[in-house]
Amino acid sequence: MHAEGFAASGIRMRARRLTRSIRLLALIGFGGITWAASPLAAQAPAPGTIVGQVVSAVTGEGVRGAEIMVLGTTRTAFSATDGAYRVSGLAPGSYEVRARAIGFEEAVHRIEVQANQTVALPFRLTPSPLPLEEIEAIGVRGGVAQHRLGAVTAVIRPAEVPPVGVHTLSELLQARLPGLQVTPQGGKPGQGSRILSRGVRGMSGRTTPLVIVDGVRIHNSPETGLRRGVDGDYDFGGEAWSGLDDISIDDIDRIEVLPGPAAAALYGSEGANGVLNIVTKRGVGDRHEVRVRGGYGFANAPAAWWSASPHGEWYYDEFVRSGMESSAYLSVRGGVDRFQYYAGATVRSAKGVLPQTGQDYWSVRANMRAEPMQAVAIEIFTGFSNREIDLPYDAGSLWGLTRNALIGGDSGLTVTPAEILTYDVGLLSRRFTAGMRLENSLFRGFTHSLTLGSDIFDCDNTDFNPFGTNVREGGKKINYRRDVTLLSLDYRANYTRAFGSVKATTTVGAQGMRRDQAYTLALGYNFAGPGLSVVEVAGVTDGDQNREAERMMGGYVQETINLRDRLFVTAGVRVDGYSNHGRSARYQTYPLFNASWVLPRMDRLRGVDAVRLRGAYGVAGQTPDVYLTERTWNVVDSVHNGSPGLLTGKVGAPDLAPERVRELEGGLDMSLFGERLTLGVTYYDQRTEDALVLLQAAPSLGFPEPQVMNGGETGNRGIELTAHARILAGTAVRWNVHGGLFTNRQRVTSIARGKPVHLGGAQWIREGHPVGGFFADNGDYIGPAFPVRTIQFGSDLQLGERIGLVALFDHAGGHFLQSNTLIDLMQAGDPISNPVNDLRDFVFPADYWRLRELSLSYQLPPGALRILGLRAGRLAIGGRNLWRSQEYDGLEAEAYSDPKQPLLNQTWFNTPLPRQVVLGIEATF
Amino acid sequence: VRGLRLLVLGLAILAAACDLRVTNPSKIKAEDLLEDPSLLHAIVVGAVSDVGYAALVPSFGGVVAAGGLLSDELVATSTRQGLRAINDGRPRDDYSETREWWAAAARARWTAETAYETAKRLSPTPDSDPEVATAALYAGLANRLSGDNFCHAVINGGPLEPTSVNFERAVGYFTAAIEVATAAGLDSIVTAAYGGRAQAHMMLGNWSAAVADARHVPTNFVFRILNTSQSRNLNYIWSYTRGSVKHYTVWGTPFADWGVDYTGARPGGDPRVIVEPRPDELGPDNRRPLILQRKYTGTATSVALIKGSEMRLIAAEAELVAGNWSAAIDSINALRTALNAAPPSSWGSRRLTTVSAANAQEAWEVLMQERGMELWLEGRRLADYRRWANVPGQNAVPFRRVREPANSPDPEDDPRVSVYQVDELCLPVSLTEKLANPNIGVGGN
Repeated sequence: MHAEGFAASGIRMRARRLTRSIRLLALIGFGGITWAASPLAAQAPAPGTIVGQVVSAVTGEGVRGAEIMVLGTTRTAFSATDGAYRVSGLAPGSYEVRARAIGFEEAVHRIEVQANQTVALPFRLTPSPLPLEEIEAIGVRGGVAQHRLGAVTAVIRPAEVPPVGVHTLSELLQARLPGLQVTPQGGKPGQGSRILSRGVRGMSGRTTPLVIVDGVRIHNSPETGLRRGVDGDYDFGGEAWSGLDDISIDDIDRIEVLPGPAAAALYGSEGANGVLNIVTKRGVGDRHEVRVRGGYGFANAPAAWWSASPHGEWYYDEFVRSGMESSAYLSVRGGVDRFQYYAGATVRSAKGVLPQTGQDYWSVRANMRAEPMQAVAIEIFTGFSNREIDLPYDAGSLWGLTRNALIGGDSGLTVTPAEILTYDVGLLSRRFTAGMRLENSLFRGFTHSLTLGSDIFDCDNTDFNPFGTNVREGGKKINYRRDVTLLSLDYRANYTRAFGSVKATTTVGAQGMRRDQAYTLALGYNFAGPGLSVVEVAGVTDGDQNREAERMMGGYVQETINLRDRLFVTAGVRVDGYSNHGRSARYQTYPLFNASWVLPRMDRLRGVDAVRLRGAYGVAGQTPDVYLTERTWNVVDSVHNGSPGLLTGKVGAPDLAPERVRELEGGLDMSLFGERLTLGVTYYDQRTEDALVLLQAAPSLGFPEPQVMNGGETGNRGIELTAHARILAGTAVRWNVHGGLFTNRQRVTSIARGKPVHLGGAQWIREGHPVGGFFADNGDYIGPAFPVRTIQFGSDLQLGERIGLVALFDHAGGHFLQSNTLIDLMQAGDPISNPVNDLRDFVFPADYWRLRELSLSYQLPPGALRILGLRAGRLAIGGRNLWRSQEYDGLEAEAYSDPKQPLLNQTWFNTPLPRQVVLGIEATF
Repeated sequence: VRGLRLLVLGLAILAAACDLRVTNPSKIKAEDLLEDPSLLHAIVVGAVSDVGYAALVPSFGGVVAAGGLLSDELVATSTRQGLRAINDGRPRDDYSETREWWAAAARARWTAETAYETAKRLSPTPDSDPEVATAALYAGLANRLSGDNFCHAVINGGPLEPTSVNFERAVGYFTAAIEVATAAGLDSIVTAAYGGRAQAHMMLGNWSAAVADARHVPTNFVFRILNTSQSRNLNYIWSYTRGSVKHYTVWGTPFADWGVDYTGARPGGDPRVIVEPRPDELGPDNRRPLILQRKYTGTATSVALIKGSEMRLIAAEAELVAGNWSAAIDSINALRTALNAAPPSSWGSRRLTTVSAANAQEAWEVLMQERGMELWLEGRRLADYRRWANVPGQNAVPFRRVREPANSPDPEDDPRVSVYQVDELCLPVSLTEKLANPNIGVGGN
């Protein structure tokens, strides 16, 4: 196949798909708007306006960012820095207006609006000791306050993390919550991460949570961008990729985290690993704001980190360099009357600590909200990102620089380091995500919305060995492209009624998803001479392609009872169908039940401000990959009579069902000593049934390819503990500390075939032990592969109004790691006749501590702001991973090797996570 | 009203997305596949391809490379744990290499046998259909390949059985191939099937039957695994001895001394084994010297499965087993004369000289060396050792003669392993088979 034709067909195909998607969105959007708007245009009355100020009932100071919602309409406004707000365009009539803000109890007032008049409506909000972040991801438009949910949820706001040193969404999630563990594959820019929420569930290693951006599902397959070829035939260096990192954290307002099935049951067959619901920034109030930010930093991996090899010092001197990173961000946001907007652009560039590693990233985002009439709102979200990553072969690759240099020094192992530097392996990924949401309030208490979304992703990998290299003397070029189009829709309707002191909210929702993936590969070998680099001019060319499709539809109904704003009880059920399931398991039902009880204030218990008890039960699923139910044969090239042949492929599992995870959790939140100390404790207990597991069919039956099957049960339980303490609360010095503890005990309770499953190396799935546990050759249990505890603790020190010092420590422990690094180094050393006799000798404790974040910031004083014409300004210096302590004496304990097999907690020559120092400045106009 | 319209709009769109049917255009469903006569040829071609693939491709050269490592044809220079341990005579059933070798060999047998059964069922002329004959031939070869290299036979999810089960099945399939190919007039398949049946009979110890079949195969007959550089059928022996990653060296094997030194540094040697010392190069382990094989010159070089010359050596070995050592030496010299009559170009002016022996023990030594040279890197050596270890009078067979270690740069640190020290001269059935097969216990019992 010629490269030009290959490229042209790929471009045409993507263009057609993009055009189709845009047409669909435009058609639906136009039709929906005009249809819904038509009866109203002729009867629009003269509008009225509400203005006011939101202040703290304790301090009297204005509350910034409070949300003011006119209930029964789609009209919403946000308060300015002094708490002032304005809602215009309201038809004359009586309204209930709700104000709510983080850290305050919400307030609702009734008001009469007259035509062409402005009425004042002030709010005095009472601070609350209970968690009051609004969670939209549980199905209710506008969100539900956390304290009304029986299941644990969390919210991460980028604005609240250190202003420098956090670049990607993966880094933003790291060490932020107990139970949410993000492990990068290594320390090179652009490498992906393995995300575990409350440990490993099941036996498949599929741990990635569902990711939703502004109501639109995004493609975040655990498959690698670089490694996976058609049918896994071609490796591009074995590097991991995370779709999450296509999203600029500068554009994110908040991330809602639903950690497990108890909270995420409404997501049915996709909710077992939890949900990350990302809400991007919107326009705020009736003002305009310009924000700029810039950062520049350095990274390094010191010589001592390479000392596992006798060539370590030489390697450091020859190859390890200072990394560099720079970033810039510009945004404009604001609003006028019934229109709000946000537009942002991010540019980031990084050079890794190893040669030929780096990443160039840029993204743009534009969000708009318009309220063309009183009961209708339209929101449009669009984002585009472009990532170019240099990810040369690494980790366990025979052609990896680190592996060759640390084992063989200057002469390498497979090839020389000098030759490796002539290779060019990289990835270009582009993502366009667009969504449109129509909101409508049909009548008082009833709102519904429809979100249509499209996530279009394409990934272009290249692997180039020039003419004259040892891999192939004539050179090699592989070009592998992956195109994904994911269309989704989400409809939800809420109806709230009041019966005296009891409120009832009924929620009905429906979702649909369609994902189409195309893989295309072009290979060329044997260039005619040096300087040639494209497939078309190779002497031998070949190509391959594959197409995959998935469909999902589902719906849910949920009822929430609110008794005197003290007791909140929710029950619901979701039913969904998925094309990936076998016929007998195509449709699944997932129940949920949770309750939250805010105890009356107990004056007799001195020091106790508030107590909330909560409990939740939910079931969610993990759908298997596409096309695993069918028994298939593959076509193979053959030299026999020039004809293609047929060979067995997947053995197929016609009754393949999603694994089902039942989660029961309970806990309490407490605020003590005048809100100086807040505690949250949660006990969770998960049981995974019909666990998906990659099982080997007996090769003697003719189908030796491993097959995902429903293969047993696992149990998973532990504790999550969070604590926030206000140590000092003066005006000169304010000092808060916080900490989190997570424990996890996982056990395999049964395996369908009754026999253990060998994952690789010393790792097994055996009854009575954790999934992926390490075992010696004689069967003795060594330990688990995944942390049984994580600890985070941090400090936030404010000196006066301007200086802030933030530190965050991160620990994971109790688990083990197989060091293929040391196996390789030992096998290349003395004595030669001593191969590995027992892998026990290469399984090490993997505990680590890290100073994950450290930053010092300085807010510019009013005088400087006036001179510079700024609303706000800040200078900061920060570091990431500045210190580490690990028992493991390979290169890096906090890494994993194979993104295709995330259960393998084994490392080869993964790049250590570098120390980073960044200088930053930000200003708001 | 407008809200209801929005609701209807949403539900209409949802209904449009309710179709959960998807198709996979790049896969062929197994349903009805084995009942479709139009796909019969493709199924047989798949079987043909898979036998060659199992022999030469998976995990750095297939079972041919594995057998070469476990016997005395190759020495590992790799740092890969599986290859190193197998080279040291300690193969394990949980190595990824073992898993892939077994998976490929097991599938090749299943595919070829299934192709034969399918062809017989679907063909309108099953007694003379070339597809039936071809499938039967490769079913025999696949069984021979498994029996030669693995410690046990496992048939279609059954228990661990002795490898004689493979050879008995091979005899059956070769017999079928002879009958159908004869009716179809396919002379090459008939001859190959006789040769394959002779090999299987030899491994079963049925020497008279082996010699009888061998007589049907002319000395110059060769039946090969066809390889190309553009299919899955590749000669990975070349790739991992001369390609970019040299996992194997001829250094440390007796063949380095017996063969021709391509550089001319050492005169003499058997022209059937040509080696190329690279005095300044070490393998990936940075320790063992590289001596490259020159028998195969690329990934497209084909590899012999059945040769007429081996048939002559089967006859010679039958004489030895019968105690007629002098007749065995005569047979070997007759073969050498025949080979000298049509030398390949790679021999140049070199020719084979006559051999001699003073007694049965020396005659056995000559045969062992002769088979080694004639069938070098063709996947026969491991089976030879297994057979010789079981022939009557094995204690008198001087194995050490053919396992003499080559000079090592540091012999104390790098002792070569004699076949005396190898626990079992065979590759274990993989742990994956043992774990997945309900008829085999976890421990392989």
